[in-house]
Amino acid sequence: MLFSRNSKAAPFDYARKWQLKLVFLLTTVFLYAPIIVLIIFSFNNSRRGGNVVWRGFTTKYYEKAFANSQLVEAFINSLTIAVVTTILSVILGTMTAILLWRFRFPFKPAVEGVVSLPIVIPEICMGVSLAMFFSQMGWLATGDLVWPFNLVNITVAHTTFAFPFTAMVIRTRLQSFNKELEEAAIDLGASTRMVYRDIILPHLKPGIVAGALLAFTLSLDDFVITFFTSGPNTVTFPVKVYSMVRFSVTPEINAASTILIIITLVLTALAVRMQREPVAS
Amino acid sequence: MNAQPDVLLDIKNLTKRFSKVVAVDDVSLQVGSGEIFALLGPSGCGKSTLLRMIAGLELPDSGDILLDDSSIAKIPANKRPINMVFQSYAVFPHMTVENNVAYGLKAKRVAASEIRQQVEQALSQVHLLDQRDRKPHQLSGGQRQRVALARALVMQPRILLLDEPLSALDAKLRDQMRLELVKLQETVGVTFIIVTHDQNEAMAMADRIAVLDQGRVRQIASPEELYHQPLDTFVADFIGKINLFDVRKVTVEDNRVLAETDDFGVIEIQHVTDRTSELLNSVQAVVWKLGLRPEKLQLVANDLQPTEDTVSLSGELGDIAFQGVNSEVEIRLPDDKSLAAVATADDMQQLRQLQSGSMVNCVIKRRDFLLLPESADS
Repeated sequence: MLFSRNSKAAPFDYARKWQLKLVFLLTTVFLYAPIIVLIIFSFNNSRRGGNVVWRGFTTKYYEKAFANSQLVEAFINSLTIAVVTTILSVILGTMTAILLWRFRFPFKPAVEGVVSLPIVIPEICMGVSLAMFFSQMGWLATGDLVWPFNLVNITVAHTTFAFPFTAMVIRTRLQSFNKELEEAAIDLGASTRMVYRDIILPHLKPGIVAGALLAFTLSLDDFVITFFTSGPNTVTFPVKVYSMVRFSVTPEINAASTILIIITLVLTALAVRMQREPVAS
Repeated sequence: MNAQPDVLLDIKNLTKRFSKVVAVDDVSLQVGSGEIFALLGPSGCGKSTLLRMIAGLELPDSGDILLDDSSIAKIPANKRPINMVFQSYAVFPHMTVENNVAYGLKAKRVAASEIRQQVEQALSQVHLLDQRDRKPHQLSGGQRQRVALARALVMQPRILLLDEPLSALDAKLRDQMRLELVKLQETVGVTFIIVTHDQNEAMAMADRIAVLDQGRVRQIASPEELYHQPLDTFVADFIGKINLFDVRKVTVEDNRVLAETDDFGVIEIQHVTDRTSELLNSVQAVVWKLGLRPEKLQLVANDLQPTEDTVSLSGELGDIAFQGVNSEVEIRLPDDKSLAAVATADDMQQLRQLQSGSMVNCVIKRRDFLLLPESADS
């Protein structure tokens, strides 16, 4: 038959071709194999994490990681910085997004450009410039302050590069806002404040959640900018791991990294769940 | 309901410009208490802008809006006793049906027990009581519109504004909703102002209609008057179909208005509108047309001799659009013009024996001709 039924491809038929399946499989392996190996070898009963010979199951490196007070301190520092950065980024990002969406003012394109600049500037340049800024301000000495005030400059640095991402995500969400909703609320007697509280913010919720997650993960695993802005006595998790790797790679690092991965996964799952809100108008 | 009841809304010389474009140009009109008033016009005629100015969502450049004889032009939208049903319905997506309807009352700080009672009443008015806990995305388009209606009506507005209320519904639901809206208006007695581009919708629902074009009011009248006594060619053409014939000269002799035409000789005009006599008395140069509604063209099979009261014309039978009770028939005249005629079911029986292109005769009563000034800029 010239035109057999099989010659017509259904939308997902490409997934049946073995070549494509192979490409898919290889991609997945290349992406996730290192992470899976890292997790598996966090349970390896070996002295060295770089040693990829299986020597039996153990959880002692988790105990060791939790017992390592420096590592735990770095971890708590990182989480604190990430949480504060997230809160600041959401507030600043939402305000920036609404400013750019709603108002017209002189030099608006310039302001838009400046706001999104931290997204494209190389991190190393930002790190250097922030380090210079903090040393001029005399803020590098904050490392000597009592916790959590010793984290101020890192938090400020993180907020600087994280909030443009948040603003971008929230602004995208604002594009889908039906202005008639706002007008309907005003028509029913709502004040401007009520319009924001009852209509615009609920609409922005998925964008705010996505933006918050983005800010949190960006802050949690940032190395370059933190490295330049942290004082000698304040250490975050990525910086601490880096210094530990320089001596030797132990399964302890694998264990700590696994915990970080799990935290990120749980948070992502939560965020996805919160976003499952219907968006029909 | 031609007689104007007591005036509720008085719009005086309202003008609104958007940069260089004049959206609403010196519009004055009055809406009576308890009527259904329609703002009808093609898209871009300014009807929505006018509605938004009444709601307070747009501020006029000049002119005034009076509600019960006091100006509301400076009162912000959230303080006007006027509510609106938006074209997209604008039902708040993250609130339940009940909370949507309660929103305005909460903004007004009405006591919770009273809110519950009023919301219940409003929801039963639009038959949505059993859907009160649903979210908008679980409702059909028609139900969402009812939520928007209940949400506005629960505020007990002096005027309810409806922006293209039926445009988003499918044909069958539209007819049903049209009847329901009229019935609802009769029950609650609130004045409705409806914006629409659909003349059938306006004709079927409204007590009075304002026909707008390019920001200006062309005519304000009842649906019957608009149809039978349109003031100019724009209104005649927008409200239903009309056949237009050129007029060479219009003369007035002993209070008789005579139109000289190429097609029918001299026709005496029976219904002379005020506007026409005004124009005839002025020195303004006016292009006149003779108008004839399609159903006034009577199709006859044989060559009927014209009597004193009638004129006749003949042409080729063109396309026939069967529409059930009546069908629309195209008649092509020798000079390439085509006319629209209406054939009843009986006529169709005879016409069916004729082929496209065969000659048909039409008889027209002289008194059915309308004399219309050509609208200056349409």
